Amino acid sequence: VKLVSGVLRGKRLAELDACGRCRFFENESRALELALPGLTSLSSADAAVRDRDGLCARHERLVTQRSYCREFEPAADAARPLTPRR
Amino acid sequence: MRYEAMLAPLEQEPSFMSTEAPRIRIATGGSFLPRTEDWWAVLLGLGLVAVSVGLYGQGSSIKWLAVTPAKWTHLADLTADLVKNWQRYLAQFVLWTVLFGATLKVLGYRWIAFLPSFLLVYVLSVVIFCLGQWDQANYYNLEPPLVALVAGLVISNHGMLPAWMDAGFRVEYYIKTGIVLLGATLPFTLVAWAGPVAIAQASIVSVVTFVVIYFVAIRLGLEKRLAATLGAGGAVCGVSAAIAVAGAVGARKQDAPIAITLVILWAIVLIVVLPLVSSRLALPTGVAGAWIGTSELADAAGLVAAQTYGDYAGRAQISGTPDAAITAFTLMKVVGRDVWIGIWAFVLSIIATMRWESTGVKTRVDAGEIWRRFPKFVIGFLIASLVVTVVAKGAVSYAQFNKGPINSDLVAPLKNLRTWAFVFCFLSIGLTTRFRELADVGGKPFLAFTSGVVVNVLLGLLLSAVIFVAHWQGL
Repeated sequence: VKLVSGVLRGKRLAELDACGRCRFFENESRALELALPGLTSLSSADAAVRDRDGLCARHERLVTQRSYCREFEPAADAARPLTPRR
Repeated sequence: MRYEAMLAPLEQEPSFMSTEAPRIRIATGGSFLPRTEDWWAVLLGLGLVAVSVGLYGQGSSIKWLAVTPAKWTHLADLTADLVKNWQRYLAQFVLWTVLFGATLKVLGYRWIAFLPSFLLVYVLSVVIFCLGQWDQANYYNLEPPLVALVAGLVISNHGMLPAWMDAGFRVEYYIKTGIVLLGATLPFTLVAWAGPVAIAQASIVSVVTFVVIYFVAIRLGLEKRLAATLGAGGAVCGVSAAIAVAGAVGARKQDAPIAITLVILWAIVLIVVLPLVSSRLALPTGVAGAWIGTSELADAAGLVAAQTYGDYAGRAQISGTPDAAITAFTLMKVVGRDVWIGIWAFVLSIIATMRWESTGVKTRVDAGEIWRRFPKFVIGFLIASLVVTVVAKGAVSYAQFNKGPINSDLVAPLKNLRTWAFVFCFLSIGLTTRFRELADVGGKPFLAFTSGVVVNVLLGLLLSAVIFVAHWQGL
Protein backbone atom coordinates (compact mmCIF):
# COMPACT_ATOMS: atom_id res chain seq x y z
CA VAL A 1 0.00 0.00 0.00
CA LYS A 2 2.82 2.33 0.86
CA LEU A 3 4.52 1.57 -2.44
CA VAL A 4 1.38 2.18 -4.54
CA SER A 5 0.40 5.35 -2.73
CA GLY A 6 3.99 6.46 -2.96
CA VAL A 7 3.98 5.99 -6.73
CA LEU A 8 0.62 7.69 -7.08
CA ARG A 9 1.77 10.61 -4.99
CA GLY A 10 5.28 10.46 -6.37
CA LYS A 11 5.26 13.74 -8.17
CA ARG A 12 3.85 15.57 -5.19
CA LEU A 13 6.33 13.95 -2.83
CA ALA A 14 9.15 14.85 -5.15
CA GLU A 15 8.12 18.45 -4.99
CA LEU A 16 7.67 18.82 -1.24
CA ASP A 17 10.81 20.91 -1.21
CA ALA A 18 9.68 23.08 -4.15
CA CYS A 19 10.31 26.80 -3.97
CA GLY A 20 6.55 27.32 -4.18
CA ARG A 21 6.32 25.85 -0.67
CA CYS A 22 9.27 27.75 0.79
CA ARG A 23 8.96 30.71 3.12
CA PHE A 24 11.57 32.66 1.15
CA PHE A 25 9.51 32.47 -2.04
CA GLU A 26 7.23 35.32 -3.16
CA ASN A 27 5.17 35.12 -6.34
CA GLU A 28 2.18 37.28 -5.61
CA SER A 29 1.60 39.47 -8.69
CA ARG A 30 1.49 42.88 -6.99
CA ALA A 31 4.61 42.13 -4.93
CA LEU A 32 6.50 41.15 -8.08
CA GLU A 33 5.40 44.29 -9.89
CA LEU A 34 6.81 46.33 -7.00
CA ALA A 35 10.02 44.31 -6.92
CA LEU A 36 10.66 44.51 -10.68
CA PRO A 37 10.48 48.20 -11.62
CA GLY A 38 9.06 48.88 -15.08
CA LEU A 39 7.36 45.49 -15.36
CA THR A 40 3.90 47.00 -15.83
CA SER A 41 4.99 49.46 -18.55
CA LEU A 42 5.08 46.88 -21.34
CA SER A 43 4.02 43.69 -19.58
CA SER A 44 2.47 42.46 -16.36
CA ALA A 45 2.93 39.99 -13.54
CA ASP A 46 -0.53 38.64 -14.41
CA ALA A 47 0.66 37.52 -17.86
CA ALA A 48 0.63 33.81 -18.67
CA VAL A 49 4.30 33.93 -19.72
CA ARG A 50 5.38 34.37 -16.09
CA ASP A 51 3.81 31.04 -15.21
CA ARG A 52 4.08 30.99 -11.39
CA ASP A 53 7.67 32.15 -11.09
CA GLY A 54 8.60 34.21 -8.08
CA LEU A 55 11.47 35.79 -6.20
CA CYS A 56 13.61 33.85 -3.76
CA ALA A 57 14.62 36.14 -0.91
CA ARG A 58 17.37 33.70 0.21
CA HIS A 59 19.19 33.48 -3.12
CA GLU A 60 17.90 36.79 -4.53
CA ARG A 61 16.91 35.10 -7.77
CA LEU A 62 13.82 34.79 -9.92
CA VAL A 63 12.93 31.09 -9.82
CA THR A 64 10.13 28.78 -10.90
CA GLN A 65 7.81 27.48 -8.21
CA ARG A 66 9.05 23.93 -8.88
CA SER A 67 12.73 24.76 -8.36
CA TYR A 68 14.41 23.60 -5.14
CA CYS A 69 17.53 24.10 -3.02
CA ARG A 70 19.20 22.98 0.22
CA GLU A 71 18.12 26.05 2.15
CA PHE A 72 14.44 25.18 1.84
CA GLU A 73 12.33 26.19 4.80
CA PRO A 74 8.63 25.36 4.63
CA ALA A 75 6.17 28.21 4.55
CA ALA A 76 3.21 28.25 6.90
CA ASP A 77 0.97 27.14 4.04
CA ALA A 78 3.48 24.64 2.62
CA ALA A 79 1.02 21.77 2.71
CA ARG A 80 -0.98 23.31 -0.09
CA PRO A 81 -0.54 21.63 -3.49
CA LEU A 82 1.37 23.39 -6.24
CA THR A 83 -1.58 24.18 -8.45
CA PRO A 84 -1.13 24.92 -12.13
CA ARG A 85 -1.64 28.51 -13.14
CA ARG A 86 -4.71 29.01 -15.30
CA MET B 1 5.63 49.20 -0.09
CA ARG B 2 9.01 48.04 -1.34
CA TYR B 3 9.67 44.35 -1.90
CA GLU B 4 12.28 44.21 0.84
CA ALA B 5 9.83 45.75 3.23
CA MET B 6 7.20 43.20 2.29
CA LEU B 7 9.56 40.37 3.04
CA ALA B 8 10.98 41.87 6.21
CA PRO B 9 8.50 40.18 8.57
CA LEU B 10 9.60 36.85 7.17
CA GLU B 11 13.11 37.32 8.45
CA GLN B 12 11.71 37.73 11.95
CA GLU B 13 9.74 34.50 11.88
CA PRO B 14 11.42 31.97 14.16
CA SER B 15 10.34 29.03 12.04
CA PHE B 16 7.54 27.69 9.91
CA MET B 17 5.82 26.69 13.13
CA SER B 18 5.09 30.36 13.72
CA THR B 19 1.55 31.05 14.89
CA GLU B 20 1.30 34.11 12.68
CA ALA B 21 -1.31 34.03 9.93
CA PRO B 22 0.05 32.27 6.84
CA ARG B 23 0.97 34.42 3.88
CA ILE B 24 -0.97 33.53 0.77
CA ARG B 25 1.58 32.46 -1.78
CA ILE B 26 -0.20 30.15 -4.20
CA ALA B 27 -3.28 32.05 -5.13
CA THR B 28 -5.15 29.61 -7.33
CA GLY B 29 -6.33 27.08 -4.80
CA GLY B 30 -10.04 26.43 -4.78
CA SER B 31 -11.05 28.88 -7.48
CA PHE B 32 -12.15 27.85 -10.95
CA LEU B 33 -11.69 31.37 -12.32
CA PRO B 34 -8.68 32.15 -14.53
CA ARG B 35 -5.74 33.75 -12.75
CA THR B 36 -3.98 35.22 -15.76
CA GLU B 37 -5.01 38.26 -17.74
CA ASP B 38 -4.47 36.24 -20.94
CA TRP B 39 -7.50 34.06 -20.33
CA TRP B 40 -9.55 37.01 -19.15
CA ALA B 41 -8.69 38.88 -22.35
CA VAL B 42 -9.81 35.83 -24.34
CA LEU B 43 -13.10 35.54 -22.43
CA LEU B 44 -13.76 39.26 -22.55
CA GLY B 45 -12.86 39.66 -26.25
CA LEU B 46 -14.71 36.54 -27.39
CA GLY B 47 -17.68 37.51 -25.20
CA LEU B 48 -17.95 40.84 -27.04
CA VAL B 49 -17.60 39.03 -30.38
CA ALA B 50 -20.30 36.51 -29.40
CA VAL B 51 -22.73 39.26 -28.39
CA SER B 52 -21.99 41.14 -31.62
CA VAL B 53 -22.52 38.03 -33.74
CA GLY B 54 -25.73 37.20 -31.85
CA LEU B 55 -27.16 40.68 -32.41
CA TYR B 56 -26.06 40.61 -36.06
CA GLY B 57 -27.85 37.29 -36.52
CA GLN B 58 -31.06 38.88 -35.26
CA GLY B 59 -30.73 41.81 -37.64
CA SER B 60 -29.42 44.13 -34.93
CA SER B 61 -25.95 45.41 -33.99
CA ILE B 62 -23.70 46.42 -31.11
CA LYS B 63 -22.83 49.65 -32.91
CA TRP B 64 -24.87 51.85 -30.55
CA LEU B 65 -22.33 50.99 -27.84
CA ALA B 66 -19.29 51.12 -30.14
CA VAL B 67 -19.49 54.87 -30.52
CA THR B 68 -16.47 56.94 -31.61
CA PRO B 69 -16.17 60.69 -32.25
CA ALA B 70 -17.02 61.77 -35.80
CA LYS B 71 -14.61 63.60 -38.09
CA TRP B 72 -14.79 67.34 -37.38
CA THR B 73 -13.54 70.67 -38.70
CA HIS B 74 -14.90 73.21 -36.26
CA LEU B 75 -15.04 72.85 -32.49
CA ALA B 76 -18.79 73.44 -32.65
CA ASP B 77 -19.20 70.28 -34.79
CA LEU B 78 -17.30 68.22 -32.22
CA THR B 79 -19.26 69.66 -29.31
CA ALA B 80 -22.55 68.94 -31.06
CA ASP B 81 -21.48 65.35 -31.77
CA LEU B 82 -20.45 64.74 -28.15
CA VAL B 83 -23.63 66.29 -26.77
CA LYS B 84 -25.75 64.25 -29.17
CA ASN B 85 -24.05 60.97 -28.19
CA TRP B 86 -23.30 61.50 -24.49
CA GLN B 87 -25.57 58.63 -23.43
CA ARG B 88 -23.71 56.26 -25.75
CA TYR B 89 -20.34 57.30 -24.30
CA LEU B 90 -21.68 56.90 -20.79
CA ALA B 91 -23.00 53.42 -21.60
CA GLN B 92 -19.70 52.47 -23.19
CA PHE B 93 -17.78 53.70 -20.16
CA VAL B 94 -20.02 51.61 -17.90
CA LEU B 95 -19.51 48.58 -20.14
CA TRP B 96 -15.70 48.83 -20.08
CA THR B 97 -15.68 49.62 -16.36
CA VAL B 98 -17.77 46.57 -15.50
CA LEU B 99 -15.85 44.21 -17.81
CA PHE B 100 -12.34 45.32 -16.89
CA GLY B 101 -13.16 46.15 -13.27
CA ALA B 102 -14.83 42.83 -12.46
CA THR B 103 -12.06 40.79 -14.05
CA LEU B 104 -9.27 42.83 -12.47
CA LYS B 105 -10.98 42.29 -9.12
CA VAL B 106 -10.45 38.56 -9.61
CA LEU B 107 -6.77 39.29 -10.32
CA GLY B 108 -6.46 41.08 -6.99
CA TYR B 109 -7.23 44.73 -7.71
CA ARG B 110 -9.59 46.83 -5.67
CA TRP B 111 -12.63 48.45 -7.30
CA ILE B 112 -12.04 51.61 -5.34
CA ALA B 113 -8.60 51.98 -6.93
CA PHE B 114 -9.62 50.85 -10.40
CA LEU B 115 -12.67 53.07 -10.82
CA PRO B 116 -11.08 56.56 -10.57
CA SER B 117 -8.00 55.54 -12.55
CA PHE B 118 -10.05 54.00 -15.35
CA LEU B 119 -12.29 57.08 -15.38
CA LEU B 120 -9.14 59.13 -16.02
CA VAL B 121 -8.05 56.72 -18.78
CA TYR B 122 -11.46 56.88 -20.44
CA VAL B 123 -11.77 60.68 -20.30
CA LEU B 124 -8.24 61.13 -21.69
CA SER B 125 -9.01 58.54 -24.39
CA VAL B 126 -12.08 60.50 -25.48
CA VAL B 127 -9.98 63.67 -25.70
CA ILE B 128 -7.26 61.90 -27.72
CA PHE B 129 -9.81 60.21 -29.97
CA CYS B 130 -11.45 63.60 -30.65
CA LEU B 131 -8.06 65.14 -31.43
CA GLY B 132 -7.33 62.36 -33.93
CA GLN B 133 -10.64 63.01 -35.69
CA TRP B 134 -9.80 66.68 -36.31
CA ASP B 135 -9.26 67.23 -40.03
CA GLN B 136 -6.06 69.18 -39.29
CA ALA B 137 -4.58 66.50 -37.02
CA ASN B 138 -2.38 65.05 -39.76
CA TYR B 139 -1.13 68.51 -40.68
CA TYR B 140 0.09 69.08 -37.13
CA ASN B 141 1.35 65.46 -36.78
CA LEU B 142 -1.09 64.81 -33.94
CA GLU B 143 -1.13 61.04 -34.38
CA PRO B 144 -3.43 59.69 -31.62
CA PRO B 145 -1.14 56.81 -30.55
CA LEU B 146 1.82 59.15 -30.13
CA VAL B 147 -0.27 61.82 -28.45
CA ALA B 148 -1.58 59.21 -26.00
CA LEU B 149 1.92 57.97 -25.25
CA VAL B 150 3.41 61.44 -24.75
CA ALA B 151 0.46 62.63 -22.65
CA GLY B 152 0.84 59.60 -20.40
CA LEU B 153 4.60 60.08 -20.08
CA VAL B 154 4.23 63.75 -19.17
CA ILE B 155 1.59 63.02 -16.52
CA SER B 156 3.43 60.09 -14.91
CA ASN B 157 6.91 61.63 -14.97
CA HIS B 158 5.75 64.83 -13.31
CA GLY B 159 4.45 62.88 -10.35
CA MET B 160 0.88 64.00 -10.94
CA LEU B 161 -0.67 60.67 -9.98
CA PRO B 162 -0.44 58.46 -6.87
CA ALA B 163 0.89 54.91 -7.31
CA TRP B 164 -2.43 53.26 -6.41
CA MET B 165 -3.89 54.60 -9.64
CA ASP B 166 -1.83 52.04 -11.55
CA ALA B 167 -4.80 49.73 -10.94
CA GLY B 168 -6.47 51.15 -14.03
CA PHE B 169 -3.36 51.42 -16.20
CA ARG B 170 -3.17 47.78 -17.32
CA VAL B 171 -1.18 47.98 -20.57
CA GLU B 172 -1.05 44.25 -21.22
CA TYR B 173 -4.66 43.55 -20.38
CA TYR B 174 -5.94 46.26 -22.71
CA ILE B 175 -3.70 45.26 -25.58
CA LYS B 176 -4.51 41.56 -25.27
CA THR B 177 -8.23 42.35 -25.29
CA GLY B 178 -7.69 44.61 -28.31
CA ILE B 179 -5.78 41.89 -30.14
CA VAL B 180 -8.57 39.34 -29.57
CA LEU B 181 -11.02 41.92 -30.99
CA LEU B 182 -8.58 42.56 -33.84
CA GLY B 183 -8.93 38.89 -34.79
CA ALA B 184 -12.64 39.50 -35.39
CA THR B 185 -11.83 42.13 -38.00
CA LEU B 186 -9.53 39.90 -40.07
CA PRO B 187 -10.57 37.16 -42.49
CA PHE B 188 -9.18 33.85 -41.22
CA THR B 189 -7.99 33.06 -44.75
CA LEU B 190 -5.70 36.08 -44.52
CA VAL B 191 -4.30 34.88 -41.20
CA ALA B 192 -3.72 31.40 -42.65
CA TRP B 193 -2.07 32.82 -45.79
CA ALA B 194 0.25 35.29 -44.06
CA GLY B 195 0.91 33.33 -40.86
CA PRO B 196 3.55 30.86 -42.13
CA VAL B 197 5.69 33.61 -43.69
CA ALA B 198 5.36 35.62 -40.49
CA ILE B 199 6.52 32.64 -38.45
CA ALA B 200 9.48 31.99 -40.79
CA GLN B 201 10.59 35.62 -40.86
CA ALA B 202 10.13 36.13 -37.14
CA SER B 203 12.02 32.93 -36.33
CA ILE B 204 15.05 33.98 -38.38
CA VAL B 205 15.20 37.40 -36.73
CA SER B 206 14.54 36.08 -33.22
CA VAL B 207 17.30 33.47 -33.37
CA VAL B 208 19.85 35.84 -34.92
CA THR B 209 19.05 38.65 -32.47
CA PHE B 210 19.24 36.33 -29.45
CA VAL B 211 22.57 34.90 -30.57
CA VAL B 212 24.03 38.39 -31.15
CA ILE B 213 22.94 39.75 -27.76
CA TYR B 214 23.95 36.61 -25.90
CA PHE B 215 27.43 36.29 -27.37
CA VAL B 216 28.21 40.00 -27.21
CA ALA B 217 27.14 39.94 -23.56
CA ILE B 218 29.32 36.91 -22.82
CA ARG B 219 32.20 38.51 -24.69
CA LEU B 220 31.82 41.60 -22.51
CA GLY B 221 32.05 39.40 -19.43
CA LEU B 222 28.42 39.39 -18.36
CA GLU B 223 26.96 36.42 -16.51
CA LYS B 224 25.20 33.80 -18.70
CA ARG B 225 21.79 34.13 -17.07
CA LEU B 226 21.81 37.90 -17.52
CA ALA B 227 22.94 37.40 -21.14
CA ALA B 228 20.02 35.02 -21.77
CA THR B 229 17.54 37.39 -20.12
CA LEU B 230 18.78 40.29 -22.25
CA GLY B 231 18.72 38.10 -25.38
CA ALA B 232 15.13 37.00 -24.83
CA GLY B 233 14.04 40.58 -24.12
CA GLY B 234 15.53 41.80 -27.38
CA ALA B 235 14.65 38.83 -29.55
CA VAL B 236 11.29 37.43 -28.54
CA CYS B 237 8.67 39.59 -26.88
CA GLY B 238 10.32 42.26 -24.79
CA VAL B 239 9.59 42.53 -21.10
CA SER B 240 7.38 39.43 -21.07
CA ALA B 241 10.13 37.29 -22.57
CA ALA B 242 12.72 38.76 -20.22
CA ILE B 243 10.77 37.82 -17.09
CA ALA B 244 9.82 34.41 -18.49
CA VAL B 245 13.41 33.48 -19.29
CA ALA B 246 14.78 35.08 -16.11
CA GLY B 247 12.52 32.78 -14.09
CA ALA B 248 13.22 29.72 -16.21
CA VAL B 249 17.01 30.02 -15.92
CA GLY B 250 17.06 31.33 -12.33
CA ALA B 251 18.51 34.77 -13.08
CA ARG B 252 19.53 37.14 -10.30
CA LYS B 253 16.87 39.48 -8.93
CA GLN B 254 18.54 42.51 -10.55
CA ASP B 255 18.85 40.91 -14.02
CA ALA B 256 15.20 41.20 -15.03
CA PRO B 257 14.94 44.93 -14.17
CA ILE B 258 18.07 45.60 -16.28
CA ALA B 259 16.45 43.89 -19.28
CA ILE B 260 13.13 45.64 -18.56
CA THR B 261 14.79 49.07 -18.56
CA LEU B 262 16.60 48.38 -21.84
CA VAL B 263 13.45 47.05 -23.50
CA ILE B 264 11.44 50.11 -22.42
CA LEU B 265 14.06 52.62 -23.54
CA TRP B 266 14.64 51.01 -26.94
CA ALA B 267 10.94 50.33 -27.48
CA ILE B 268 10.17 54.03 -27.02
CA VAL B 269 13.01 55.02 -29.35
CA LEU B 270 11.77 52.57 -32.00
CA ILE B 271 8.18 53.85 -31.68
CA VAL B 272 9.48 57.10 -33.15
CA VAL B 273 12.23 55.79 -35.43
CA LEU B 274 10.48 52.93 -37.27
CA PRO B 275 7.48 54.93 -38.59
CA LEU B 276 9.79 57.86 -39.41
CA VAL B 277 12.24 55.76 -41.45
CA SER B 278 9.38 53.82 -43.05
CA SER B 279 7.80 57.05 -44.25
CA ARG B 280 11.14 58.32 -45.58
CA LEU B 281 11.47 55.05 -47.51
CA ALA B 282 7.79 55.33 -48.56
CA LEU B 283 7.16 51.75 -47.48
CA PRO B 284 3.64 50.44 -48.11
CA THR B 285 1.72 50.09 -44.85
CA GLY B 286 1.79 46.27 -44.93
CA VAL B 287 5.57 46.22 -45.42
CA ALA B 288 6.15 48.76 -42.64
CA GLY B 289 3.83 46.82 -40.34
CA ALA B 290 5.84 43.65 -40.97
CA TRP B 291 9.08 45.49 -40.23
CA ILE B 292 7.68 46.97 -37.04
CA GLY B 293 6.42 43.52 -36.03
CA THR B 294 9.85 42.05 -36.65
CA SER B 295 11.91 44.74 -34.96
CA GLU B 296 9.83 46.41 -32.23
CA LEU B 297 10.54 44.93 -28.83
CA ALA B 298 7.11 44.73 -27.24
CA ASP B 299 3.53 44.21 -28.41
CA ALA B 300 2.16 47.43 -26.96
CA ALA B 301 5.01 49.61 -28.24
CA GLY B 302 4.80 47.98 -31.66
CA LEU B 303 1.10 48.69 -31.92
CA VAL B 304 1.74 52.37 -31.19
CA ALA B 305 4.24 52.42 -34.07
CA ALA B 306 2.07 50.33 -36.43
CA GLN B 307 -1.07 52.36 -35.82
CA THR B 308 0.88 55.59 -36.20
CA TYR B 309 2.20 54.43 -39.56
CA GLY B 310 -1.22 53.14 -40.58
CA ASP B 311 -2.50 56.69 -40.12
CA TYR B 312 0.07 57.82 -42.72
CA ALA B 313 -1.74 55.74 -45.39
CA GLY B 314 -2.86 57.87 -48.29
CA ARG B 315 -0.25 60.53 -47.69
CA ALA B 316 2.27 61.21 -50.45
CA GLN B 317 3.75 57.98 -51.81
CA ILE B 318 2.57 55.78 -48.92
CA SER B 319 0.32 53.09 -50.33
CA GLY B 320 -1.84 50.53 -48.52
CA THR B 321 -4.57 50.71 -45.93
CA PRO B 322 -4.25 51.69 -42.26
CA ASP B 323 -5.38 48.21 -41.28
CA ALA B 324 -2.64 46.55 -43.33
CA ALA B 325 0.00 48.02 -41.00
CA ILE B 326 -1.76 46.71 -37.90
CA THR B 327 -2.51 43.33 -39.46
CA ALA B 328 1.06 42.75 -40.67
CA PHE B 329 2.40 43.87 -37.31
CA THR B 330 0.09 41.56 -35.38
CA LEU B 331 0.77 38.53 -37.54
CA MET B 332 4.51 39.07 -37.30
CA LYS B 333 4.76 39.96 -33.62
CA VAL B 334 1.98 37.95 -32.05
CA VAL B 335 1.72 34.91 -34.32
CA GLY B 336 5.35 34.91 -35.47
CA ARG B 337 7.28 35.80 -32.30
CA ASP B 338 5.23 35.71 -29.12
CA VAL B 339 4.02 32.11 -29.44
CA TRP B 340 7.57 30.77 -29.11
CA ILE B 341 8.22 32.17 -25.64
CA GLY B 342 7.42 28.87 -23.89
CA ILE B 343 9.87 26.98 -26.11
CA TRP B 344 12.59 29.59 -25.54
CA ALA B 345 12.07 29.35 -21.78
CA PHE B 346 12.02 25.54 -21.83
CA VAL B 347 15.16 25.17 -23.97
CA LEU B 348 17.08 27.77 -21.98
CA SER B 349 16.07 26.15 -18.69
CA ILE B 350 17.53 22.85 -19.93
CA ILE B 351 20.76 24.54 -20.99
CA ALA B 352 20.97 26.44 -17.69
CA THR B 353 20.45 23.26 -15.67
CA MET B 354 22.84 21.07 -17.62
CA ARG B 355 25.56 23.41 -18.86
CA TRP B 356 25.79 26.55 -16.75
CA GLU B 357 27.40 26.92 -13.34
CA SER B 358 25.18 26.10 -10.38
CA THR B 359 23.49 28.92 -8.48
CA GLY B 360 22.45 26.85 -5.49
CA VAL B 361 18.90 26.67 -6.83
CA LYS B 362 18.06 23.68 -9.03
CA THR B 363 15.34 23.80 -11.66
CA ARG B 364 13.00 20.90 -12.33
CA VAL B 365 12.84 20.98 -16.11
CA ASP B 366 9.29 20.46 -17.22
CA ALA B 367 7.92 20.42 -20.81
CA GLY B 368 4.57 21.60 -19.44
CA GLU B 369 6.25 24.98 -19.16
CA ILE B 370 5.81 25.43 -22.93
CA TRP B 371 2.03 25.46 -22.58
CA ARG B 372 1.91 27.27 -19.25
CA ARG B 373 3.89 30.18 -20.66
CA PHE B 374 2.02 30.21 -23.97
CA PRO B 375 0.39 33.62 -24.56
CA LYS B 376 -3.20 32.38 -24.51
CA PHE B 377 -4.68 35.54 -26.00
CA VAL B 378 -3.35 34.34 -29.38
CA ILE B 379 -5.94 31.56 -29.18
CA GLY B 380 -8.66 34.18 -28.71
CA PHE B 381 -7.31 36.13 -31.70
CA LEU B 382 -7.52 33.04 -33.93
CA ILE B 383 -10.96 31.95 -32.69
CA ALA B 384 -12.38 35.47 -33.17
CA SER B 385 -11.07 35.53 -36.73
CA LEU B 386 -12.51 32.09 -37.46
CA VAL B 387 -15.94 32.91 -35.99
CA VAL B 388 -16.44 36.16 -37.91
CA THR B 389 -15.14 34.58 -41.13
CA VAL B 390 -17.74 31.82 -40.79
CA VAL B 391 -20.46 34.40 -40.09
CA ALA B 392 -19.29 36.37 -43.15
CA LYS B 393 -19.79 33.16 -45.15
CA GLY B 394 -16.13 32.59 -45.87
CA ALA B 395 -15.13 36.12 -46.83
CA VAL B 396 -11.53 35.83 -47.95
CA SER B 397 -10.37 39.43 -48.27
CA TYR B 398 -10.49 42.82 -46.59
CA ALA B 399 -12.72 44.04 -49.39
CA GLN B 400 -15.39 41.46 -48.55
CA PHE B 401 -15.05 42.20 -44.83
CA ASN B 402 -15.33 45.93 -45.41
CA LYS B 403 -18.58 46.24 -47.34
CA GLY B 404 -22.28 45.78 -46.77
CA PRO B 405 -24.06 44.92 -43.53
CA ILE B 406 -21.29 42.56 -42.39
CA ASN B 407 -19.06 45.62 -42.14
CA SER B 408 -21.48 48.22 -40.85
CA ASP B 409 -23.27 45.98 -38.34
CA LEU B 410 -20.54 43.58 -37.21
CA VAL B 411 -16.93 44.25 -38.27
CA ALA B 412 -16.88 48.06 -37.97
CA PRO B 413 -18.35 48.17 -34.43
CA LEU B 414 -15.85 45.53 -33.29
CA LYS B 415 -13.10 47.56 -34.93
CA ASN B 416 -14.24 50.61 -32.95
CA LEU B 417 -14.16 48.67 -29.68
CA ARG B 418 -10.70 47.37 -30.60
CA THR B 419 -9.51 50.93 -31.21
CA TRP B 420 -10.78 52.00 -27.78
CA ALA B 421 -8.87 49.14 -26.14
CA PHE B 422 -5.71 50.16 -28.00
CA VAL B 423 -6.04 53.82 -26.95
CA PHE B 424 -6.44 52.70 -23.30
CA CYS B 425 -3.24 50.71 -23.82
CA PHE B 426 -1.26 53.54 -25.44
CA LEU B 427 -2.18 55.91 -22.63
CA SER B 428 -1.34 53.31 -20.00
CA ILE B 429 2.16 52.80 -21.43
CA GLY B 430 2.92 56.45 -20.74
CA LEU B 431 1.10 56.48 -17.42
CA THR B 432 3.13 53.54 -16.07
CA THR B 433 6.54 54.47 -17.50
CA ARG B 434 8.26 56.43 -14.75
CA PHE B 435 11.85 56.84 -15.86
CA ARG B 436 13.18 57.62 -12.39
CA GLU B 437 11.97 54.22 -11.15
CA LEU B 438 13.76 52.21 -13.82
CA ALA B 439 16.88 50.25 -12.88
CA ASP B 440 20.41 51.41 -13.69
CA VAL B 441 21.67 49.20 -16.50
CA GLY B 442 25.38 49.81 -16.81
CA GLY B 443 27.45 50.12 -19.99
CA LYS B 444 28.00 46.45 -20.82
CA PRO B 445 24.35 45.33 -20.79
CA PHE B 446 23.51 48.44 -22.80
CA LEU B 447 26.16 47.62 -25.42
CA ALA B 448 25.13 43.99 -25.70
CA PHE B 449 21.43 44.80 -25.98
CA THR B 450 21.99 47.65 -28.41
CA SER B 451 24.06 45.46 -30.73
CA GLY B 452 21.10 43.08 -30.94
CA VAL B 453 18.64 45.91 -31.58
CA VAL B 454 20.77 47.22 -34.45
CA VAL B 455 21.03 43.76 -36.07
CA ASN B 456 17.32 43.17 -35.49
CA VAL B 457 16.29 46.45 -37.12
CA LEU B 458 18.52 46.00 -40.19
CA LEU B 459 17.65 42.33 -40.68
CA GLY B 460 13.95 43.09 -40.18
CA LEU B 461 14.11 45.79 -42.85
CA LEU B 462 15.92 43.46 -45.26
CA LEU B 463 13.39 40.65 -44.79
CA SER B 464 10.28 42.87 -44.82
CA ALA B 465 11.17 45.37 -47.53
CA VAL B 466 13.33 43.24 -49.83
CA ILE B 467 13.08 39.47 -49.46
CA PHE B 468 9.37 39.14 -48.53
CA VAL B 469 8.26 42.51 -49.88
CA ALA B 470 5.76 41.07 -52.39
CA HIS B 471 4.13 39.08 -49.63
CA TRP B 472 3.64 42.00 -47.25
CA GLN B 473 2.77 44.44 -50.03
CA GLY B 474 -0.09 42.18 -51.06
CA LEU B 475 -1.64 42.10 -47.60
